Amino acid sequence: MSWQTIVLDFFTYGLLIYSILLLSCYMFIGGYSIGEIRTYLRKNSFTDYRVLASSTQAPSISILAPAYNEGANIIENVRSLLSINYNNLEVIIINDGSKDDSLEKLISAYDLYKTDFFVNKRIPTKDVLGVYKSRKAVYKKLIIVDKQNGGKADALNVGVNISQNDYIVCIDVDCILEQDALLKLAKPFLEDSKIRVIATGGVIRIANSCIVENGRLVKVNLPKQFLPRVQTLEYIRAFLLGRMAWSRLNGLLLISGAFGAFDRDIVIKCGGYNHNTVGEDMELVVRMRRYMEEQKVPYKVSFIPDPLCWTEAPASFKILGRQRNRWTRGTIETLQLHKVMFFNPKYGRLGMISYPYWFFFEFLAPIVEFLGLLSFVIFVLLGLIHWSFFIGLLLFIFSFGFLYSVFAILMEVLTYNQYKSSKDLLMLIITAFLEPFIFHPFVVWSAIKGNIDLLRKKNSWGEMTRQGFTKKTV
Amino acid sequence: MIFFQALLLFFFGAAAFLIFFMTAYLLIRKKWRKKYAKWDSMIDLLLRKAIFFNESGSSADQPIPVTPRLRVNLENSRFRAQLTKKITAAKKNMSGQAGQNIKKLYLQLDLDTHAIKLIETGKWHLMAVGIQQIGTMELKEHLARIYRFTNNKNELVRAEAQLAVLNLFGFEGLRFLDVITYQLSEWQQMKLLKELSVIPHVNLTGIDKWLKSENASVVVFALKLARNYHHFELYQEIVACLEHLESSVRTQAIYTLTEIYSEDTSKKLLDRVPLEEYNNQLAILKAVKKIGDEADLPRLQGLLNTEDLEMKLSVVRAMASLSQSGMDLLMAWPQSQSYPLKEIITQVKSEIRV
Repeated sequence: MSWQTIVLDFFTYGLLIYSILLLSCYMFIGGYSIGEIRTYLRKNSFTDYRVLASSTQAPSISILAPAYNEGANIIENVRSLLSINYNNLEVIIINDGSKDDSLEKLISAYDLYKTDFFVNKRIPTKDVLGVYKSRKAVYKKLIIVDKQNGGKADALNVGVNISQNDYIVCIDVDCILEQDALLKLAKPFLEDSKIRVIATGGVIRIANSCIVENGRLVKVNLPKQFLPRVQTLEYIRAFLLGRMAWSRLNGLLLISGAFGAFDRDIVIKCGGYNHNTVGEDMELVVRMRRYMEEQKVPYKVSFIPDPLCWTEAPASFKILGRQRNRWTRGTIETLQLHKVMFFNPKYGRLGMISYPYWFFFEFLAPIVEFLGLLSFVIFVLLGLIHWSFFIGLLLFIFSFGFLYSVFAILMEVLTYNQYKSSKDLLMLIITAFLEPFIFHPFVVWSAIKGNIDLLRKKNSWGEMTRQGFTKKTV
Repeated sequence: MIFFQALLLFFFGAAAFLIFFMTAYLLIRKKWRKKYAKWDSMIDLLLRKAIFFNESGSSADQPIPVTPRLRVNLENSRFRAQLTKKITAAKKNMSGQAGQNIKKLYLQLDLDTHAIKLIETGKWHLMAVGIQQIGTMELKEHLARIYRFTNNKNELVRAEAQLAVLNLFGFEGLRFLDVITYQLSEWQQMKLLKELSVIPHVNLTGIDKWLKSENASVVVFALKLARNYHHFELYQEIVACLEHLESSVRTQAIYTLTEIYSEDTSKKLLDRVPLEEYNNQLAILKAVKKIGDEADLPRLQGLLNTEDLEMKLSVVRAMASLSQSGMDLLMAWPQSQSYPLKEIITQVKSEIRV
């Protein structure tokens, strides 16, 4: 047996085994999520959220929304947050050293005055320049914090220090929440008396092409542009299938930074958000879980399949590339920071299942895919393998990806059915067919660039320019 | 290659099947939606007839007129489910004669038999539906059947059974607290309290017994009942809960004592501070802020030296709110002009001004 044959066999069979393992994981996730969604929907049909809305014993929640140069929409965004249906609430907007007129606009619109507020720096942060409250009783829930620029994680940590309530809900200030989003997010914290729920996440949906009026989403539309539409499909797969299955396993490692609720006490004990990583959302969840495992306290990270939060997805390859590059770096940094848990039985499911899955199938997947594809092309060109085998392998992967996407669309139709028209569903199916040719290779390439940037120690956040939501026209 | 081809065919075939299934499902659902709309108007008409049954001069003994078509539709399980859903929703929102008429209609259509069948299926989500119907329709004759489910292993079944028992027997229904071994979640406690809030308050007995329950969640719930319904006679039992082994019980006891208190409650709470865990210490300071008096100032002053800033803030808040002497004592405190006490006092002063 020549060395070429050995190398070739290693690549061919190695890649095949890896692909089969990855696809098996996806199949398991798809199937396992069904039970969790079904149980949730059945239980939810008995839930009257008015109980929570009207109760004086509802858990107290602080919404933390960092804002940097959001002057264009800040007034409407804050108004949207203040209109959320929840009694026991404070809304904390953290102006992270914006260079625009965000603060002046807020002071004027909400009649704010600077208070004498003692900031207890339980988590070290950049300096707070001022804490503002409104003179108007109608805005009594609102607290505006002005601070030196320190990035999103630092801004959120200031919010944690300022907040007075039991739970914190961290959101991106430009996200649009469903009216009952907090009620739904708060409920899991009350449901289990034996296990402490340390964090809860909900489904995030893409708001491009949807109609927004006075900070509220009034009509759901499937995005007209290809990139946001393919991300719609991607989010359905990730949230409705992936996170529900991981939630059922109690192995969820990520609650999106755009919208998630956390037990404030545990967040403080863990030291808050890490501002040395661009994946601060995932890192916090992993650190909280690690803390609970080390303390040997039974805990859960919960996830609910209801669409609770709508956000604008990148519509250009440039912005999408930056976002995926950052996500990749965030994942690797988090895995590096907590490498002690890798196949460490001391950390239970976290160390033996969740961490290895993220290592092999989230971090390594784009690298394996990229290198595998490159190697196969070289082997085909060198005549070491037949091109029909190469095409067969690609079609095999493609057909599975398409099947998985169609399954996700079916689950969406059977559950929340946000995109009701047949035309929208047809568009989603066509998008699922096209995704492997356009979107997926780009995402893989962005992940590779993320790996390279991390090796070069580039740690920029990457500017996220948004187009703004479609407003209702009269 | 054959392996790939077979899988390829399988995956594409499965995708095509799912698309076909989805299309068929949507078409059927569209058809059903039209049917549901028709049924809705039929059911609404029937409900209107039932609600105003006595006003049309009909005797209470007479049955509510039901069309033959509706009777035929009753054989259809989907129609029956839709009808039951609307009848129970109407019953929840109506009281007096209208509510009684809805119940009469429910029984006349034998829907209670179907509710029992649901309970007998053994499937938790169907059992819960059946139990909920029995409770909403106030069918007291089924108490024995429902009561045993109040300690069922399935949380939804036992939650619905507990609510149903309250619906049937009001405060007396709370006797399930004597026997339950499973924990009452915070969510369930909130639902029970909400249910109780719309029931006329009569002669609530048994709290003293529940305060001594081995089930910690029952003790917590009993403390909430004592607080909400102002059971001052249970003061000693509530104070005894401050020494309970479970932290959640002690926390709730502190909250309850901010509503049910005597002259020496704040002293008793302050006695507990050195023995308590951090969160309960903060809860005690909040309670003392509300119910304490000048006599507590020296004890509070003793806590000012704490290194924990959250605690320091709570102590200052309590002292400042008790009386002007509290504020004077704070200002005279040696560290009151330096960080962090100076900043804390400034904040508390501004809170009092607001």
